[in-house]
Amino acid sequence: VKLTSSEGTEFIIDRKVAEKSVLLKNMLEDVGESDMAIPLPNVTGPILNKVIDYCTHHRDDPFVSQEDDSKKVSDDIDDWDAEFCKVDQGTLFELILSANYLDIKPLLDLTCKTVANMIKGKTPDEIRKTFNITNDFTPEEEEHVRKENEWCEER
Amino acid sequence: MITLLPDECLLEIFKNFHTKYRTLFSCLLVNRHWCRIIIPILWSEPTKYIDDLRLIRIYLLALNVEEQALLQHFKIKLPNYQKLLFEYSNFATYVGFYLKDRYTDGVKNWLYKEGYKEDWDEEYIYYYDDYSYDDYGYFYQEFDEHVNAIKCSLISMFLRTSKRLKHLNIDEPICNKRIFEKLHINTSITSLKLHINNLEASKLLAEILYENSTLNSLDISNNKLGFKELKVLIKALCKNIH
Repeated sequence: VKLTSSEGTEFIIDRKVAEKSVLLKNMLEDVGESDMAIPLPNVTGPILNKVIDYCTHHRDDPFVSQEDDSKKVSDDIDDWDAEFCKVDQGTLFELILSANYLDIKPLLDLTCKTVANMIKGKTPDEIRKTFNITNDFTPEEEEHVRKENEWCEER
Repeated sequence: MITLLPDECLLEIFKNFHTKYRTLFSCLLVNRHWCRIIIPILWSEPTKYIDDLRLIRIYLLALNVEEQALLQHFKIKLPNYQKLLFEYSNFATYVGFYLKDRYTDGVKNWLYKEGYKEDWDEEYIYYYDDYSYDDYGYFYQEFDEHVNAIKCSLISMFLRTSKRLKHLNIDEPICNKRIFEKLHINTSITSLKLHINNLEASKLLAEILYENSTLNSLDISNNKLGFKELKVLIKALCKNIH
C-alpha cells in the first residue's frame, strides 16, 4: 500500500500494517488493490513515519473495539510503547491528531494515556505550566467553579 | 500545543481519569475550555462514588418550585445561592440512593448540618451525635421522613432534568406515587433497581412494565415480596416480553 504524507513523501507499507488504521482499512476495502498512493494531507512525513513504526510493531495485536475502553488504566504501558512515546510535546500531540484522524484506537489510547500521566497528580497551575495554557478564568469565576465542585477536591 | 487538540481528543485524555475526582478537579480549574469538557464527566455519576453534603447542596439548588414545595411543610431550609454556572443534574447518567447511616449519607448529613430552620433543638444534636436511638425514637422517625422527602424531591428532579439518565438505583423504600408517575413517562432509563415494599408500589411498577420499551434491566432482588406483589409483577413482565 502506498501512502503520501502532507509534503508529498511516499511511504510503501504492508497492507496488514495499513489496516491497523480503520480509515485506511475501510478505504482499501472500498477501492480494492490499487497502485495509486493514498494521500494523507493531515499527516506530516516524520509523524507518518512514527505511526508506521507503531503499526508495524503492533501488526499482530488483536483488534480493539470502541466499546472496550470503559476501563482505562494509566499505568499499563509496556516498555516499547513507553519508549515510543518519549518524544517532545509537539510530536505527541501530532501523534494524537493523526491517530484520531487515521482511526487507530490503540495508538490514540496510548498517546492520550501518556498525556494523562503527565497531568496526574499536578495542581491546576502546574498543568498550565506543563502545557503552556493560559488561565482565562476571572478570579470570581474560578472561585465559583471551585465552590460548586468542591465535593470532589479531596477524593 | 495541547490547545490545538479538538475536544474529542481532550475527552479521550480525560477519560483516563474516569473516577479520579481529584485529578478531574485540577483539570477543571485549568481554563474555561477544559472546564466545559470536564463538567459532564465529573457530574455523570457522582452519586455512585461520593455521598457528600456539598454535592447534595448543589443538587438541591436545582429543585424547581414544585419540587421545593414538597419540602416546605417540613420546615426544611433549602440552600440559597446565586445562579449555578451549569445545570449539573442534566449530566447525570447514573443516580443512586442507598440506605445508609448519617455518617455516610449525604442527604442525612446535609439535613442535619444545614437543612433545618433555627428551631433545631440543642438536645437533639447531642443525642443525634450520640446515636441514642431508643430515647429519641420519635425524633429519628421524623428525621428519616424528612430525609426521604428530600430524596424523593431529588429523584423527581433528576427524572425531570437528566435526559442522559440511564441507571437509576433506589435501594431504599422511598419511592412515592409521584416518582412512579415520572418513571412511567421516562424514556432514557435502561437499568432500574427499586425497593418495593407493598402491593401499591408493585402495581405502580407493573403499570410501567406494561408499557416501557427502553428498560433492559430491572433489579428488585433486595425486596421480600409477598405472593400478591410477585404475581402482579410477573404478569407485567410476561406481557412486556411479548
